[in-house]
Amino acid sequence: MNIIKAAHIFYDYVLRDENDNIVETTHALTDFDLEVEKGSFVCLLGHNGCGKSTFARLINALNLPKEGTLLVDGMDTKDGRLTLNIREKAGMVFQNPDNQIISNVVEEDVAFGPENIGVPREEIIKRVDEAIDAVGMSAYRYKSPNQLSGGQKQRVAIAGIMAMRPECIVFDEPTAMLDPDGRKEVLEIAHRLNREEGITVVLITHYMEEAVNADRIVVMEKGRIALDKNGHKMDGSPREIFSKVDDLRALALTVPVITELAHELRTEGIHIPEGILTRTELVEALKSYF
Amino acid sequence: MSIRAEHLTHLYSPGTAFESFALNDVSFEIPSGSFVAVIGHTGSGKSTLVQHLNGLYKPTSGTVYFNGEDIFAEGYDLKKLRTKVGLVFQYPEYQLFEENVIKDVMFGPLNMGLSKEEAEEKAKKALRQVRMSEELYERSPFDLSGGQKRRVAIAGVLAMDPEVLILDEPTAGLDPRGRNYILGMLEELHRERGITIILVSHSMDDVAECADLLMVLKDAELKFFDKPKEVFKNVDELESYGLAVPEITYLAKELIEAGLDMDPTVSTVEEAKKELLRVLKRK
Repeated sequence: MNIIKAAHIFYDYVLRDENDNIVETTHALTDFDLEVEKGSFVCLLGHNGCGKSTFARLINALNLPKEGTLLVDGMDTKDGRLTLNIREKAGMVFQNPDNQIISNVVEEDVAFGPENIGVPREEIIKRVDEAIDAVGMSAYRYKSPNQLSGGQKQRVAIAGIMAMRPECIVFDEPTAMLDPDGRKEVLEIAHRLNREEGITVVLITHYMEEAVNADRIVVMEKGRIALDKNGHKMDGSPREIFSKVDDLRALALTVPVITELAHELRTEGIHIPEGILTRTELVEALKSYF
Repeated sequence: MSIRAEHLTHLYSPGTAFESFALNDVSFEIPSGSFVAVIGHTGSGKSTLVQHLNGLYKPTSGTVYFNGEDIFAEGYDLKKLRTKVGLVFQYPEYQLFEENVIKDVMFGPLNMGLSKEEAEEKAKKALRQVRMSEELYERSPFDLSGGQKRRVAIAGVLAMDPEVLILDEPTAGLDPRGRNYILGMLEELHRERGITIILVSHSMDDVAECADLLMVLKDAELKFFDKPKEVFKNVDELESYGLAVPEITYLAKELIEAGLDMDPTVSTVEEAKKELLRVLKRK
């Protein structure tokens, strides 16, 4: 069962001068296909400008495809009557925590979404309780978001999405502006919501280490799904993707450092498997040598 | 030629219930031409510290010497200091404001009183150093990508020909390509122009690759100031400060615990590869 189904999507950014003449057209997505399985944890990797954020905005109907179809749980994002339903179904968390908080009190901020769609008061209270609890912010519910750290603000933003009872959350580089602690907090919440609440997670990131625990990694380049420039489609496990060290390097992407070291040792004739992801795995693999 | 901090202390909200140390008796000397990384948890005092080095913050007590002169002494020319000790803030791209790239970079030199021609020459040199291609000089800075904007902002400081360049988390929020680009550029500036670089960072992996000295701050105090390798030996202390050593150093530790006799101080993929090949092939 797919919650997101993108077929033959094209999307362009057009730069115009003051007379409305087109100066430059950038193809952000070109004949892009992707299906996301319900309940899965999918990581979109790629450089800035590869089209990953554009795709995220299409899922939420913030932008509409120029050509092609995007279905969110069977609903076509081009159908304006469904926009609000789609946004309830697929919530979005952005990069900058300060841009997503609107209220002076944490619990009010979390209640903003459900209030807007006319959820009855009793139900809102219940949802807010659950959402704040799900992100581990109960101790802060009467605090002002101004006093929170970046990671905590992101958790409040996630609670705000959770209160809409989504089936899917799209995280667009949620950790890019956070310190290592905040990064860990947010990732743990994303994984927990996926595991315990069955929420489909689409995580956009360029930290390779954050992708190691995903079910599936999709590498994007120049508006297409790509592992190499020959147009090979790839949607495999982290182990499969990260074993293609040379292909990823050709895309100027890195692999996690441990994977890189294992790969280097292998090319020097040390017999260890390809696609090692963690320190423990590498220590185990090297044990036969000492 | 150096930056020397002596018993630098900075109190926030002194005399109130909110009084707290932002810096507590911090002393060090940064030799000219070095590449120093400043690392610490959020709130440890990193940004406060570097803003003292060009006189933006005044210490509660203690002082900073630049080339032997007390920068907080009566009559010291702070404006001139700031052209010699350039500071690139966090997310500097938010500070771009001119209508095109070249004008934005010329702003600093013009402010120093240089003629338009001289300023333009300096700006072009700085833009070449940050590897911005000439076609982009007339573009609005707001039409550039995030990584490009950041390079323009760095060029704006470089155009003043600083002897010391301080950068507060210059790679935050960039993708791997943008990050490598900035770090590579800094290494080049350091190597070829001999500029002293002070880099505030969260990433031990970045630091392991490029810095020759590492400063670790914790709760407003300076805990370590040494070669990265020496600092990385203190895994347990660093962890108790909420910091991690590079992944590779952790790996070395685990391999040693598993019974392998190897150098515990490796911190980059390249070093670990060499050391492991040496140890494993011997057997």
